[in-house]
Amino acid sequence: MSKILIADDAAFMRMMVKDSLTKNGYTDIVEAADGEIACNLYSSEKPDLVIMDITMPNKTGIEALRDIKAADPSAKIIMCSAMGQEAMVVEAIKLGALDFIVKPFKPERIIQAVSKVLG
Amino acid sequence: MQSVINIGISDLNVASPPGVLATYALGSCVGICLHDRTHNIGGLAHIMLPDSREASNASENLRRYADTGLAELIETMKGKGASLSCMTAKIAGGAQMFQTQLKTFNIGERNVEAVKKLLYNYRIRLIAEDTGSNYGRTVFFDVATGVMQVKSVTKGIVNL
Amino acid sequence: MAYKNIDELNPMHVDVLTELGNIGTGNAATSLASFMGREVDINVPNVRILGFNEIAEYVGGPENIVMGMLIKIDGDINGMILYVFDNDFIENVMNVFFGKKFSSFEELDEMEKSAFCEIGNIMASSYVNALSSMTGLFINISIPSLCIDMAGAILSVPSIEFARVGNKVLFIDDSFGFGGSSDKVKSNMILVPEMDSLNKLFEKLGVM
Repeated sequence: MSKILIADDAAFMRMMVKDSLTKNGYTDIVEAADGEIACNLYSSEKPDLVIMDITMPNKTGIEALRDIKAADPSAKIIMCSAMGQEAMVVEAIKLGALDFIVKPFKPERIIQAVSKVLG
Repeated sequence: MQSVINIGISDLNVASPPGVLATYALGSCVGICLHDRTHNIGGLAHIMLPDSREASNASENLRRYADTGLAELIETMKGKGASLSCMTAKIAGGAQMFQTQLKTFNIGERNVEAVKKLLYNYRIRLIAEDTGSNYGRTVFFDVATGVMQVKSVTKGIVNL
Repeated sequence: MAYKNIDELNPMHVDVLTELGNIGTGNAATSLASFMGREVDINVPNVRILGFNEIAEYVGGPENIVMGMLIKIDGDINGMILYVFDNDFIENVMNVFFGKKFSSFEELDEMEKSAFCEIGNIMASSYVNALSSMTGLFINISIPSLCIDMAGAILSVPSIEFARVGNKVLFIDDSFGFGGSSDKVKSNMILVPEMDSLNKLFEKLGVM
């Protein structure tokens, strides 16, 4: 059973992503409300995949991506943000993000990305 | 019948009884009510920013700033026969409407500090205030009684 | 010429801002439609440059209780965006996401407020994404901050920022129709660019 960490400051967004995942059989889910919590939960929970927002307090998703990848180069992280500007996408991919989903997205888009990464 | 005089943003006015001076929905701005009970004159200024010396475009509207706005309010009241030594002050506003980590947004607190310092320098006694926190306030200042009524969504009506 | 003051904008630059408002709003409306799973059509937004004491009248008067959302912009462009959502807009969102009627602001719970924050985030992001793709500038936004209070008090925040650069604010008045309905709901956007940023924007668009 794969464990997925959802990092997003908006509780509503976490709920939507969690709903889509749960409906598709991914039920082992942990949630983080900011980038710093995401980093801490990554080391304690060892999730198989992180779905990471960018615009978050304390630590942005980009900073959290960098820190998690530094601690665990094999970490699997998908970015999920409304900030779809090229510079942002390029930076995330450079830092090792496996995919970049621009909000708003259709639920299928998340599932497709998740199943591609988790195989 | 009381006549209500509405004072907009970056504006001021004075009145005698039975006049009521009002300013609506102060956020980070500060409403300064000055009262000379001896000569029955009241004034209200609605300032937006603490210091005219920090602005490059201050001359556009001097009523926008605490320093120049308060100076003009005092002069206007004096022109109507008030005396500085008889004046007392009540102030309201200076809220921080949005909770953000960015310090530049906390202009409300700076406005309140600036007004208090200026009042102290003029030796005008501050006898009541309803300032700070995170909500908007409407002020009615009744010149006959000197009562400053503060209305807000969360706290209702408070008479000071 | 480089502007120091928003009051000085010539009609051509006001047109440019209107067009940017148009494109940005179109993008934001498309995103909103997709987020809500509803058709959203928009009217051409009105871009107005208004005095501090005038703006409150456009959102129901200074003492009207409204929902405001503040988002700070940084990167190549600095400034802030303030959204003011009218009650019909809120009603529609409540209905779509929570299957609820909107009765009063006091009854909104944290999850519901979070949905509005996400709408602010998505609308502001798609707005600046559009600006970014037209200009090649990178524009970042902060997390949204929500406030429910008197319109005048909420509007004092951008007014104070604008007071450093003039007597007026840039007011973009959008009206949306949800789900093919003829009833229009409104979201007002107040854009507060720093003057240097506005000059940079005009320069990038070749309209100096």
